[in-house]
Amino acid sequence: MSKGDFLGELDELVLLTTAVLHDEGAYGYSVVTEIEEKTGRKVSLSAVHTVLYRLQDRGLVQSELGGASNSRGGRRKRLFYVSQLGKQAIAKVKHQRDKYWQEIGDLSFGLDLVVI
Amino acid sequence: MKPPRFADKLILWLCHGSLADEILGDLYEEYQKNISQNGKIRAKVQYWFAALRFINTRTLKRKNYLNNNAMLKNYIIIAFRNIVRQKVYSVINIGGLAIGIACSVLLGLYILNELSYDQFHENAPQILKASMEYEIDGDIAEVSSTPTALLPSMQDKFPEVKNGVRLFYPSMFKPLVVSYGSKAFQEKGFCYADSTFFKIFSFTLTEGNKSTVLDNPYNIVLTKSSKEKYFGDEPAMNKTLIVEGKPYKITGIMDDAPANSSIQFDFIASFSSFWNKEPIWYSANYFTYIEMHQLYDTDVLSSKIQTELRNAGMSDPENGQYFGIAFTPLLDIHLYSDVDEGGGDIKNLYVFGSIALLILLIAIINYTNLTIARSFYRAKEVGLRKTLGAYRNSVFSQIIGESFVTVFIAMLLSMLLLYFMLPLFTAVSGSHLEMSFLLRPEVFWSLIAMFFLISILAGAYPAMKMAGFNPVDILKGKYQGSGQGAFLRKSLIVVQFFISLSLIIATVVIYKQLSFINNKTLGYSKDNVLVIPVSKGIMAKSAEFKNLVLKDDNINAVAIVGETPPNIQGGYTIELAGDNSVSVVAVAVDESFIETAQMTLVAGRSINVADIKRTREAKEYSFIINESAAKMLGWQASEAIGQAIKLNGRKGQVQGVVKDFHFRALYEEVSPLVLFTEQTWAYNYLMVNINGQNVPAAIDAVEAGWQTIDEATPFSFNFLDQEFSNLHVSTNKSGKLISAFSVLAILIASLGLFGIVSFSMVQRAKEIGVRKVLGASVANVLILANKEFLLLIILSFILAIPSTYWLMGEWLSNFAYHVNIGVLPMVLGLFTTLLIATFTISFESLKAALMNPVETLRNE
Repeated sequence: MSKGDFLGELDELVLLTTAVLHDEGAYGYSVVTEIEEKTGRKVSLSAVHTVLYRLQDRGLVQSELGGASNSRGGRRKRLFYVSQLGKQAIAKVKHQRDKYWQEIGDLSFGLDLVVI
Repeated sequence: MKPPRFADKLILWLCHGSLADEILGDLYEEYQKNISQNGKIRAKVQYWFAALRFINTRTLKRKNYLNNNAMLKNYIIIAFRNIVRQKVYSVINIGGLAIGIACSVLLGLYILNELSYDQFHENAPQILKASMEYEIDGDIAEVSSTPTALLPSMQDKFPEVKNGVRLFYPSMFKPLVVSYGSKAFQEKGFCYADSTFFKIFSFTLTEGNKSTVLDNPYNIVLTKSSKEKYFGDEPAMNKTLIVEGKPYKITGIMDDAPANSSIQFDFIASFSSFWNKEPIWYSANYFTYIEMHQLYDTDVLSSKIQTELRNAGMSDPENGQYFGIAFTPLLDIHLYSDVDEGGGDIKNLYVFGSIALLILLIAIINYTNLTIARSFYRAKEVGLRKTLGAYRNSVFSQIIGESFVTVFIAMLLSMLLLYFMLPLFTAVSGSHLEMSFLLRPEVFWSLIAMFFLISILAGAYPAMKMAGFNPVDILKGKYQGSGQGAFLRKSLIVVQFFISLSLIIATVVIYKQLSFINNKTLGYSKDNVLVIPVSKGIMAKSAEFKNLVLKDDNINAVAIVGETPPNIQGGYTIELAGDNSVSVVAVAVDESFIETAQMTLVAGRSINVADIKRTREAKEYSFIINESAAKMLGWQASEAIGQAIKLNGRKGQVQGVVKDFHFRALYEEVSPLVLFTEQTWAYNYLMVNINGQNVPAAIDAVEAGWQTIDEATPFSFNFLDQEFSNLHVSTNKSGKLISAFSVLAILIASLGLFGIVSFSMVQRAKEIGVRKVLGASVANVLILANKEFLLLIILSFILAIPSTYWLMGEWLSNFAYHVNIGVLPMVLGLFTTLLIATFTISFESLKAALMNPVETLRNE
């Protein structure tokens, strides 16, 4: 696996959120609120924006211009969808993490997992 | 609830179309949430912060979806095509700019070099040079030499003084004879210095120990070039040099003093070699440099010393006996010090700095003018681009981009020009400038800054103008032949010719003054007189030498004197009845001086051999005074003869009165002067009046005589007229430099005029055609073309008169003896400019005037 395929922590989070929001429509603000809801973490709009475009450049997400709405002051939004490549990437990350967890489970050194 | 408007504008300005929409929409949603959570005011602040965070390279890179690269490529191609197609204009633009840039870079380097004097000393800011002030007849005189006792007593009394060094140049009186084996030379750069010399100054010692080289008497350090002069490639350390008959041991070799050092020398010998007595106050021939522990206010230091001097009874300002010590920081010596000779002058830097900027301005105006004038040729291109969707911005950046391309080519060319100009400039100005200066970081970055500044200055106005073209009007053909920017264009031409005319007038005034200096009746003959530093051997047998040399037909007269006319400096006092005294300049002369220098006696007689004999045997002195001295002492010329005077203790009679002659540079007025007889030690120079028809034979004869009497001392000489013009060397230099730059200025301005005229002729081709059809002659057309521009030049002339009159008047007031500016320089300046302009205009308009009207009218 070359370095270029590596997903940064925030990249991964945004990519997962985009996947979660597939039906409602993932765009800058919705991703920010979703992340805050799920993790309690405050992320700035511009940071998410940058990540979304970076993911698009890497082909992990695709986008199209959505319609305007009054709740946005009459501005249009760009909706992002996880691409085939993006799905593979999330799956790969999950697979890698799972391998670690299996080993931790095997060792069973009394680690109490606290889910935050 | 509307979000902050300016934040929105900022985003809209930075980001294009849909991107701005997305960002603003997201921001808006967040804003609404923030209002409900945090209230309006905090929400607004948060909105601003969030908006500002979008200003990052990732967002900006997505600015628009146009294919920028392709467009940029197209702009560059168009720029080059334009340059190649419009050959004449390009040559004018690029050539003018290149000359202008080369001039200003050259003068910039010169200024930088002048400012760098003495900066290489590590402790430069803490080093001060002392000078002495004393009161004569109520005036304060300042000299840069100080007594030997100054430094030791300062180190004694003031703990602030860290270190100090005294320098003495015996060669300021006359050159020293230095020899090694069979090699012997008269040396002018011989210096004695205290052992602290290399601790205070950062000269580079290549051999020898920095802290001990000058510790003992008869130690000497050679510069690299004097080492090579005497020893070639052989090692010189620990060998012995003979200086005026005394052996000196070489304890060190150093690099030559850098050209930008105000302290210059070829040899440094230990101060103790000639001074082993107690330091004294009453003889002041020494330069004192002190190093302070930290930066120090020179005024505070001199007032502290003043208190000490008063307490010691050495200074008594209440009774007209003020004596004080002043200090100049080492870094100010070159540019600001008046008492040190041969230094630079801060005024010159301002003058040359302004000239550099003015020439550059002329070149920039050329570019702006020609580009605006030609803009209508390109109106269609702009119209089409705009129709196809070009923004105002993109037209602007295209046109200004062309100015960047042009200035870039001009800059490359100017570096080439500079390469050829540097040696010429160095030869004229005497400052050592090298191409490598361009690579110094501060110079390099200045060049880059200059590139941007010139490109923007030259291109901004035309670019703005063309970006504002209305495509509909253009494509309808409305812009054709309009007088777009005619007023501005004419004003700029007036500015250009104002500058060039002023420079030409200044040049003429300077040359008028120079020729005045060279042709002024000085009261003595400066042509065909040799000046030779006299040696001990010759002095001992002076009568014998004179007789021997005078046998040759080419030698008219030989005199031995203390100092020679263009630069007699010796300050003496005549003691009058009571306690009064007056200060005069005086010099020891022998019986042949008046004859050799061909001066006119107004009354009495010259000194004769008997007078000199009486002086040497009976201490009875004889004097010749000049008219000014007679007047000061209140005598008519005839009354003065036989009067008894006392000159610094020398009692004697006035034997003659000589007509006033200019014994110093023409900056100074002729002051009272006394010529006196003296013991042998006061004579330093031989003056030999030779036959101008056969100069080489005369010199050979003097040299042969010298060799016969004193074989040991090398013979060297100078011409008196050369020494005279050396005194006015800074005027000579400025004359040459300013004339060169005024030629360049008028050249660039004429290039511009040429371009504008040829443009105007093309534009008026139809008008000229119609005129010719209606019967106008070629002459009529030429007059038509000339009238428009010559009027502008006359306007610039009217503007140039008062400013140059005032400026050059200021400059001339530096000279005690100077010409009046008069009408000639003005007329000459106007005439030259008109001639060049008429030639330029007629050359270009003749083409239009000779053209067959059918050619220009058949399309109608």
